[in-house]
Amino acid sequence: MANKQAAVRKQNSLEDNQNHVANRSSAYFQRHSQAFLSSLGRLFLNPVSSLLTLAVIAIAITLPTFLYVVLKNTEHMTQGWDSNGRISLYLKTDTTQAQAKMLVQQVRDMPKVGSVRYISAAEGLSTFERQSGFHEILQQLDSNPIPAVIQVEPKTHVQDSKDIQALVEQLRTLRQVDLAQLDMQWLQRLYAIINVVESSIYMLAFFLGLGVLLIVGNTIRMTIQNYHDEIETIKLVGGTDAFIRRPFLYTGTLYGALGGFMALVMVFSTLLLIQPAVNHLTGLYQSHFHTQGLGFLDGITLLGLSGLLGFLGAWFAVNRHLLMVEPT
Amino acid sequence: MIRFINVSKRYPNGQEALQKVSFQVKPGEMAFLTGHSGAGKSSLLKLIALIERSSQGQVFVEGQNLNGIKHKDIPFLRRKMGLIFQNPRLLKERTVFDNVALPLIIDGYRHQDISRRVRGALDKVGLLDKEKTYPDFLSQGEQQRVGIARAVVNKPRLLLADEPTGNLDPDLSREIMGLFNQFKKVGVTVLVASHDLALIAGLKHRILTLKGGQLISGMVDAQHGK
Ligand SMILES: Nc1ncnc2c1ncn2[C@@H]1O[C@H](COP(=O)(O)OP(=O)(O)OP(=O)(O)O)[C@@H](O)[C@H]1O
Ligand SMILES: [Mg+2]
Repeated sequence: MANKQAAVRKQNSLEDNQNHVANRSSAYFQRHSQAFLSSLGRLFLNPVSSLLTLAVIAIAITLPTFLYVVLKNTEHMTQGWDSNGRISLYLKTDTTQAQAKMLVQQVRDMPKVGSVRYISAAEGLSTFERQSGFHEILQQLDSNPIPAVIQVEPKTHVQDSKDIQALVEQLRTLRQVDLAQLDMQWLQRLYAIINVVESSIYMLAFFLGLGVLLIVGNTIRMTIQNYHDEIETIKLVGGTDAFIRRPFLYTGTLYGALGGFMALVMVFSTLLLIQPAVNHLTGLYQSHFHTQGLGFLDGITLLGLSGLLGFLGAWFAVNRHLLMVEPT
Repeated sequence: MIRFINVSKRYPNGQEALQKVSFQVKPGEMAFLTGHSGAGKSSLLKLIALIERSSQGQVFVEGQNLNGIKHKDIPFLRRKMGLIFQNPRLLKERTVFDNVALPLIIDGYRHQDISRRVRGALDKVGLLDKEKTYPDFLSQGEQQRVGIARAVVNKPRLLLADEPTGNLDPDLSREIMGLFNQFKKVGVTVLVASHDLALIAGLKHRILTLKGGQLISGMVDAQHGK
């Protein structure tokens, strides 16, 4: 009996829906484009406040993006530097002045060597005294503990770190050389600084991204409040949560993506504006250096990420506020 | 079509709106629900549309026990019925056409089918020439008729109306009731809550009377016997 009833019901509803079930998939597409269009409409319904929201989102995205471009260029610029380290040759303490002179000449004649600077033991000592403040202690020593040093700069075309290493090995075998050291401390410091800056930018991007999420979430929350009655009505005529959610999710994604697009425009204009200053700076280092902007892939990634942030912001707002609206 | 078995409704604040109400409305029947203000008319209709849930007893719609319906399935229950309210709850930023089309859009109908059905529904309530108008530019009676067109546009087999003529003058009220009568004639089950006894007494349909949350008359269909 119950089965028969159910069968009849099923039959009825089948007939009822016969007409449109076959076209569900095209209807599905229509529904999505409709939701998309209605969310566009919603943005333009209140152009001033929408633009303000977009501007805030755009600025929040511009900041880390611009810093990212600066970082990328800094890394690019310093790439050639690590193989150009300076080599310090510490001479044995029994080396005579004449021996040292000959050694300097010998090193200078090597094909890979660019410039050479000789710092005698006495010079080294006085520098050390000045910088360390151990003046009294050093006075009490019988002999000068500081060795003489020859500082060697490889030629600029010697960039491969293997070549440099070979040069270091060669210098190490020279008589009177106690220790040959590739001095890259300053470079390591630079890299450490770049590393810190890089992590900071990522943290900044994280927090500003969170900010974008909250801005979109809050905007969507206010929209939901404005549409409270409409949402009730849609629920009363059989709208599912998904149906109601859809235009808000589109709106959020649109906010994020449009904000990201505005950010791209701002980054590009800023890069154009500072180009002369950058050219001057790079001219001081290497004439062949070219600044890099954001590539096509970077741009797409940025748009995708900002769209995703907008979507997530809307998602949280919708799940927190929209689904609590129930008709009475 | 509708069946209540010992249904009670107690609101969270302790208010008893319905007490042990039992009745049945057969498919294709038209019935009125009446009673003093606060008697529980709206509460009873809300239980049928699952706007509220019963505290005790069972409500059946088309043989389906509403106690077994999960939250996510409520929209699909509501698509089977047309709901009409005293305030027609139209979307102000949408045209009359879009308002009436809403249930069809929600149900995923194709564009062409939507136009055809919306025009059909507007024709039935005599507002075909107003499809591009916004609700604010309509009279109250016209707004109510748009609400009715929206309720019938997807051809539900059940119509529930809560004080549909509450804001209307007697002539308009009779017109609206006439509309419901037409839907009944094509096989739709209609349940109308109204306290306008003068209006409904002349219409010769069963009258269910609530008093203080209890059903005091009309439990049985007088015309069809027990
Ligand atoms: N959401 C609610 N929370 C608490 N009590 C409620 C709620 N809705 C209705 N009530 C109470 O339940 C009782 C029945 O209310 P209901 O709205 O069903 O009456 P009604 O017959 O529709 O009255 P009216 O003719 O004035 O519309 C009333 O005492 C009312 O105060
Ligand atoms: Mg009421």
